[in-house]
Amino acid sequence: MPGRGKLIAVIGDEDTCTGFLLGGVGELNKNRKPNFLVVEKDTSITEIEETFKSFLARSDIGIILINQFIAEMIRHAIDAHMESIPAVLEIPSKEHPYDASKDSILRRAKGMFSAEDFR
Amino acid sequence: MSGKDRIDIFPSRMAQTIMKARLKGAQTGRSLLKKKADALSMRFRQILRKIIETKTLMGEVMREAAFSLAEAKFAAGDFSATVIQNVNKAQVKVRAKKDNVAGVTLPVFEHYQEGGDSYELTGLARGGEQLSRLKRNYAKAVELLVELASLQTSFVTLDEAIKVTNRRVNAIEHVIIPRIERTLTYIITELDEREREEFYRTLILKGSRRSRRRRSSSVRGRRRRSRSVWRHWGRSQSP
Repeated sequence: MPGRGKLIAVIGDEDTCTGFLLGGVGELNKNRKPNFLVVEKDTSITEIEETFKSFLARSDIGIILINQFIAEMIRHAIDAHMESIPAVLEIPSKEHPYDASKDSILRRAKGMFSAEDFR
Repeated sequence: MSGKDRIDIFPSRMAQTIMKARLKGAQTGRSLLKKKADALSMRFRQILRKIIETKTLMGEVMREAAFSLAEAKFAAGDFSATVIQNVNKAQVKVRAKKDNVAGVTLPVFEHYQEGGDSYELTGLARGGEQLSRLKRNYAKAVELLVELASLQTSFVTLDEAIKVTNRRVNAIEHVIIPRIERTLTYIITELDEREREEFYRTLILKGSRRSRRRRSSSVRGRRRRSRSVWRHWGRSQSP
């Protein structure tokens, strides 16, 4: 639906979140809930999964950016998400460069994948 | 395959015309759907290629942005905590627009700026230049990511649409058309059978009528038959 804008949510490590917040995507909504989650070494997988599910449930989030190594941890929750909005985008982090074979969206097109090669 | 019946309909000439019209309709429908599925698949493949390109590009852009973040941290100290605390309103938001491809509406993201920069005062102490470069880099990354997100959503939506259309094409091709053809064959055989029956019946009637006439003409010549014989002959003719 055109009109009211949607937010970009971020689930990532400290550096990723800082960077994107400086890019201007961060916001606190009416209940002081942020649209991002800083994942540290001691953040539990349940917490990450809860936040991810809550982002999916919010109607004002259009895109969810998530670091690939975090996406690996909640792979089952991401694969279960079949709708087109919010779009879930996997981004590389500093330690883990982008690995296309783990991307859940690209894996869905596995049939056509052998024809296209990654360069 | 079991379960592929024919349609239960009384075999008549009109039923045959109706079935023929339905068959024609099903065949046209199938070819139209096939064309739609082909158009969608073509668009799908285009989008897939574009996604792969953009993803690799995005990997590089992110790497550069992370690098400039490290530079800025080196110059300005650790500002992550301040940045995270100072969140209030987002400057960059996205809008979902609808795009139409061969009758399928695809959502497309369009990003737009709103409001000023909340982090204008960060880095005023030191490392200001690195910080502003960092902000620009991440803003560029965000634009690219928004485009990537649009491609991804269209990808997913198209995937679903193609599956549905292909399912319909297969259903028409393997279930509906054979069923109608079967019904048509049944009607035609029934009509032919009926014609043959009628023809045979008329033959028999004609034959019996002829033999009846012959017998009656031969009897006309012999008036010597007694009345009881007449009566008996008359009764034997009753059905």
